[in-house]
Amino acid sequence: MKKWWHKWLILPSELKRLGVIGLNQRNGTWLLPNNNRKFYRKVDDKLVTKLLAEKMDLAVPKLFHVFSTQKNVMDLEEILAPFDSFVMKPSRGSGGRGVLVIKKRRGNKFIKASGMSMTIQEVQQHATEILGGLFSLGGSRDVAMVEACINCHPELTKISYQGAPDVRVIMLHGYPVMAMLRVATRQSDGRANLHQGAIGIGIDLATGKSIHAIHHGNSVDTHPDLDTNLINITVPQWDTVLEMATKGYEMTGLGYLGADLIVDDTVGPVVIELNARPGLAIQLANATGLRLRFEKAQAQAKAHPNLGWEERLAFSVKAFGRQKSAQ
Amino acid sequence: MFKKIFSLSGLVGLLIIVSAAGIIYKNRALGVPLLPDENREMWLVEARVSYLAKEKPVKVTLALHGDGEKLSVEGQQISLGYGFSKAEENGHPVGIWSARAPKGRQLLYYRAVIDESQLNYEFPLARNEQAPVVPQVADMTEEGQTLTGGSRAMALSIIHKEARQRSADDPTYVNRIQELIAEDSDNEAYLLLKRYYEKKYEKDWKRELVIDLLRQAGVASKGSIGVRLIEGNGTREAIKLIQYFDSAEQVWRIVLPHGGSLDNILVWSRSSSLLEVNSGGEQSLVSFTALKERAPTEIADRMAKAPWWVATISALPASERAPFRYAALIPLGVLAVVLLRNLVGLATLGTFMPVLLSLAFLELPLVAAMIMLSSMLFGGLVFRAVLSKFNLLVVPRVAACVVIVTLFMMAVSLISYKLGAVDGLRVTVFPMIVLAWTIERMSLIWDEEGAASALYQIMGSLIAAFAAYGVMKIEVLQYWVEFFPEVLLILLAIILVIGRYTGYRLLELVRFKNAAQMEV
Repeated sequence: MKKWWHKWLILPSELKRLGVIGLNQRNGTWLLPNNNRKFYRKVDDKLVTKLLAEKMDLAVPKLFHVFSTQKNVMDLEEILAPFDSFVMKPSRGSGGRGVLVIKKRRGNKFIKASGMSMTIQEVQQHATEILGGLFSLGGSRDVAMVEACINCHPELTKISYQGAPDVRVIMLHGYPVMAMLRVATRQSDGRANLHQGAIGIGIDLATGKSIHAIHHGNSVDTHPDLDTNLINITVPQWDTVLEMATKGYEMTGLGYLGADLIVDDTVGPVVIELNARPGLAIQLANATGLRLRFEKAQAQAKAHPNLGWEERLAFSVKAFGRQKSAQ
Repeated sequence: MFKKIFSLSGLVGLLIIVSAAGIIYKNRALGVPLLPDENREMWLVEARVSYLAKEKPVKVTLALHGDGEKLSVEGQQISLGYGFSKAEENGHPVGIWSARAPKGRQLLYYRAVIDESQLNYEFPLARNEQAPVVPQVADMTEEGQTLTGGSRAMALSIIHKEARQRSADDPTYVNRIQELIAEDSDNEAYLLLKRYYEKKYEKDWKRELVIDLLRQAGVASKGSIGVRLIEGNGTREAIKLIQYFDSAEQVWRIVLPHGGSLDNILVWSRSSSLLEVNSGGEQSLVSFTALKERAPTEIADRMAKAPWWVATISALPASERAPFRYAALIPLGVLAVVLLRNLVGLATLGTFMPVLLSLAFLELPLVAAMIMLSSMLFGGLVFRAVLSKFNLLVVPRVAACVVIVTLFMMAVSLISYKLGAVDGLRVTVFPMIVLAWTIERMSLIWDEEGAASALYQIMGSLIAAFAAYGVMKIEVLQYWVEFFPEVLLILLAIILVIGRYTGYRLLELVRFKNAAQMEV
């Protein structure tokens, strides 16, 4: 029930009743006790993540090349000659920084997702910047990965203003507990970060259908730039998405984990990155608190410690899904 | 049992018990009061003599404050082997250190405890002191070997006459002369004198000029030595003062050569020479440290003599203690930041950057600090925007920013000095490397998340810096940290407890306000 103070804030007692968790609780109760520091490298370095995923037979964007030395960058033209489209990104960048998406070529020029063109020198400069650590906050050296460009499923691109929408699944002890689709807006500039103005859309774990959407923390039903409907959209190949996310636990050993996937038009869902510190806005996107689900997953993990991914997934769909699965 | 102590609550309990035990012991056994004495305005003034000994018999004579309550030759081996005696030289108290053959850099300390309410700038004649006789200015020619000697005497008498006409008595005469110097008049006679005295006495020229002009008027005068009673990081030089004899009132009066208020200035000695070292030493130097003594003298003394683990920083010489007083405040500022970040949920640029800023605020008047900080941030951001055109790598880019911030700081100092604000000279207290990183982070956030986000975060940092400053400024806390450093253990216990707090942050209540529409 809406009270007058809800215009400005919500009382702690109400939040508690709704099972919404705050950052202190996320860190102190769910993140720190469950995530061993030594596993962080597996998710913070995208190159390591990619190799691990390939080992687990999880689909990832195909790796074309890794630029690790400046000398290597000099031969960039030759190395990238076979590829018309590609994505270049820092292995340890965060928040989508330093990601360069080349959609096609026109003569000597590289055409970016936004339609702007770049010369080979500019692409080389970008690689050099990545190597020098321009996109890592501490300024430590990095390597530049070049991988295949993903063609996002048209069902999803039609609700995003440039930029490919990605699906985030949050897991505790390998049990998917909540999922969200993130779509870009004009304001978020093609990126899928909610605090930069992207839209978060809560997804029902059982059906893959969108149930609720938020923009800047407020509920919305339509995309502010495209005016398309955001509710009751189905994420294609949802079962595969969930399956791949769930296997992320076996891959990393991290108890509190977020998996980001994009559904490709031809190869289906691919793992983009894994995240050891996924944020809390997913609760608003789903209009559901995380705490009760976490507690259920934790109890289940304690009672049955060695379940495989199929059993965990089945439990999650049953416990956290809104509607019965279509099958 | 063992496990219990090592659980968090056990540790917190242990910290509180140890801390409380220390406080109770000091309070009961040593009589250290739990609250600072608000009415007392006592200062511990420490003179530190430093010189280079040449392995010869050495005699160091330092002019002393006559009422020094406490006296100590500090620092084990440095003062070992020195004999110390107090004497009187030309009617002024002096301390004399002597040793047979010391070697290397030597440090000697003398401390006096001064009551601020007893500061005095008028000294009547002592019982057997004669009113001073003024030597005539005519004997100028004796030293007037240069051709300017004659014209100087002329200029002195012109200035003297002008000032004389516009004054009623000795104090107003002195005022006229000080005004003349303060406004740096373009009077021809004055300019001539200025050139002459600047050349001859360098930075002491104002004092010498005033003394000669007083002599011209038949007023007896000489130099004396003052110390400014201001707390701060680091030591200070003595201030050169003038005393002249007001024959109407029959008192010696103290003034600053260039005029101005004597507030906070202690007349350390009425002798005109502060330090004499005989041929056994060279490169001698006196510096002063003033500290507000927050506890009664005898208790502070008792603390200093207690075992080191009780005395802690009280056992250090004042010049070492002053920076420690600041250092010990840092945990207070850190606690403020922890509260703001984990309980309020304020976002700051760099975790403990606000604490470093607040340390700078402690050294400067708040408004001046704010103006300087924001101008430095603004300048840095503009420069950073220019730099971003060149696509520099991170470390060189931040390094370039450090250089620019340094240059900018020099400019701010210079401008504020020209405008007459001395505070500008102390911008060096700002942590430059931290500022450069702040600028870097801010501009990154500006690029990626927009100006609103960058300003929001810098505002958060400033609010946190203010809060940390506010906490560090509380007198009672400063007193506790100095005399009961074990309260830091309680602070540690509080921080540990907050480390386990898993409730909501204040700002999350706003962030999640739309959760009100959720279903359970």
